[in-house]
Amino acid sequence: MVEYMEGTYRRRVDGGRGEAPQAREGRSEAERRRARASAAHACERISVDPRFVKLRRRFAIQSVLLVSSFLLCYLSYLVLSAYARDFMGIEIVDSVNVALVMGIGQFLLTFVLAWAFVRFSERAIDPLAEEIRDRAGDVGAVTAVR
Amino acid sequence: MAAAPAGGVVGGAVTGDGTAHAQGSAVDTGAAAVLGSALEGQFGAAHAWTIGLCALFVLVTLAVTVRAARATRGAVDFYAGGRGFSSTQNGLALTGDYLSAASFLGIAGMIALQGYDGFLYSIGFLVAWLLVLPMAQLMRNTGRFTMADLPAFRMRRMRVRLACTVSTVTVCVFYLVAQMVGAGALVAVLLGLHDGGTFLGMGAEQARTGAIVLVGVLMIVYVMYGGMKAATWLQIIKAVALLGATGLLTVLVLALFSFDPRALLGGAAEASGHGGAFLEPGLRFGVEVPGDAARTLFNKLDLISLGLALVLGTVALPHILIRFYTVPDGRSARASVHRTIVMVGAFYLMTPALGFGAAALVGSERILALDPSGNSAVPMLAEEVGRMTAGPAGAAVLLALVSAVALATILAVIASLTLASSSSIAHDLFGHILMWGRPRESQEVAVARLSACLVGAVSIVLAVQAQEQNVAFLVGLAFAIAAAANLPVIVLTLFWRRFNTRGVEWGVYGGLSATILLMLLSPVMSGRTDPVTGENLSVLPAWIDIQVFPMENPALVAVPIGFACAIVGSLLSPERDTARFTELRVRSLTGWGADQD
Repeated sequence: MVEYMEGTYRRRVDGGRGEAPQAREGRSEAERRRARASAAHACERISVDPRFVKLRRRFAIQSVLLVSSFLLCYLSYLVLSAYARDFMGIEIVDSVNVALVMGIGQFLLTFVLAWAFVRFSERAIDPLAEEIRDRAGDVGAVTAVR
Repeated sequence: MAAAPAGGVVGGAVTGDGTAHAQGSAVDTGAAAVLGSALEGQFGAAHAWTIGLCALFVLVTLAVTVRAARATRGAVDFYAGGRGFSSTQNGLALTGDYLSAASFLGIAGMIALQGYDGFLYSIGFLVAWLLVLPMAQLMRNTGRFTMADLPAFRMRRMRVRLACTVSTVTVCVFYLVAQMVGAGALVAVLLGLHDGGTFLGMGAEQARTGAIVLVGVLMIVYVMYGGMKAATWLQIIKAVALLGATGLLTVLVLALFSFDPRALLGGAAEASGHGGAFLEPGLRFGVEVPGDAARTLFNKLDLISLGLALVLGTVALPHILIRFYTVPDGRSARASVHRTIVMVGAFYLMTPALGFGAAALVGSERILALDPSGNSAVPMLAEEVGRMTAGPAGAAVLLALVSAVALATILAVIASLTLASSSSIAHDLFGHILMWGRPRESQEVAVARLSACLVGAVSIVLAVQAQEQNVAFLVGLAFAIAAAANLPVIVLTLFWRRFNTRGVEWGVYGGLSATILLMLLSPVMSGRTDPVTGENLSVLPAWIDIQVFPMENPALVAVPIGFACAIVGSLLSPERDTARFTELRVRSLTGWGADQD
């Protein structure tokens, strides 16, 4: 089928727009296979790098925290809206009731969670990813020389 | 009343008018009189301003399109805007993509009529973005142009691309038709052709058809000539206009209540005739039917199902998805989602002010008289606020501003939808299936332009055919399909080692058909009658009753079916490619080797 053309392992070869047609003219089948194999090899090496394992764990933890906390809050808010009408109707200050406060609370929660996620990503994820990318670049160069 | 259609709001803006025409003839009788009296004196002025502002918007965007077309050369430019947009620009564009007329007119109208329950939509639409936040960088790092690039990275089979194209185009066409019918309905209401009136010798039907065709042709022009660059700038302009107009209106409304939200809420509750219940959940969703425990249960489940569709559907909407490819890297994709959350959140925080303001200042009787779906609440509010702030001239200007922004909103959203489906057809169907993955770049772009034209034409025809129908449920259906067919594929591709080709196919086709089937069997299509008058409220004629499924929002059942199909399909197929999954994981997390061009 078309295995060799799909995915994103096509690299820029001639400073052109890195699209299939140039790749087709610029490289032979064998070269493409080799580039593909070396990319796969590099990925294999990165995936066992302890820093990558750390990156993976951090990303998993922050995503799971984000998604589970917002889903929990949102679903409990929905369930309260559906089943705890009396509670939601309690007025706090005249004509401002629990339902409205909880609604605004969902907005604030969204802003806070988004901000926290982005901040954590910038501090703990991006530098690590960059380090791994840099090192992978070196490895790639070494493989190419060999 | 029990459980209004999901799309009632989502696509609300969009239609309601169809219902009005089909069923509300009694209500309609009063409409012309109301509009006539509401706009007496400055009727002509408001029209002139509206048309002028719309023309200005169209001229500016056409100029932008011409510039974008000059800068568009290759596939990367056409599909992904050259990947050169900054995260702020892309954040604005995402905001523009997401805030359809349904958000602007539909939600505010629903808050004006049903009070707090409209606000539930606002919250669902915003919270959904928290699911997009972690996915954005992964999708940017892995894909190139379309959703199919994601699973195709691992599976590399044409069948995967075909399945993704099918679901993308289905979602887009449903969404498109709903929006275009809405444009027609909106124009009819705004020009006062709602009931028997004429404008430049046109009746309501000609005006609706004219509006649909005009909007459709403009959308084709934007996409065909300008591609993603034009679509992005269109969205940016629209987002700024929409946020500006909403902000202005909110400030004016709050100023009338001397910036005291309690006064606004109290006034709204009093004017609504529902009293305190207006500010509590339960007027529209999860309605309790005394003596019918099953009905009550289903109504409440329907509310949760709706919330789920909103939250899970957003991340998998094709026109949102392709926007992540317009920025240089995963980090900017994440940053743009963060900016989107801030802007979308600010917008939805203003919707209650508009909705409650309309309830307090305009009153539900006048809103209902003009359009039973409540879509005209915001234009009427603008007119009222303008009159109270600056007299008749203010009324004309504000009404025109809001109308023009609403039309711009519809126009921008449909342009993006057309682009999403045409890139999927050109890149996946033509490029990777018909041409076996080796098309000439120029060929592929030409096909993309052609398919934009084709999708646009098909949507225009469908929308013209459906203009009398209440197709509001189509937007809800689009969200549900995205959640049930696309989301399992995206999530399992990124996180499940064992996922494979058959899993993708089963997931997409299973989720898609389950959603459509449940919708066919739901009260939206048949078997719902008005408890008081016995009038038929469903899409199909009264003598067809195939209602089996008790809820109007299928997501609660359809999404688990989609996931189950994808998982069972994968397990039944021996195919597995661990090496490719490892590569995907490395790429998606680190951005190593992700396409920069």
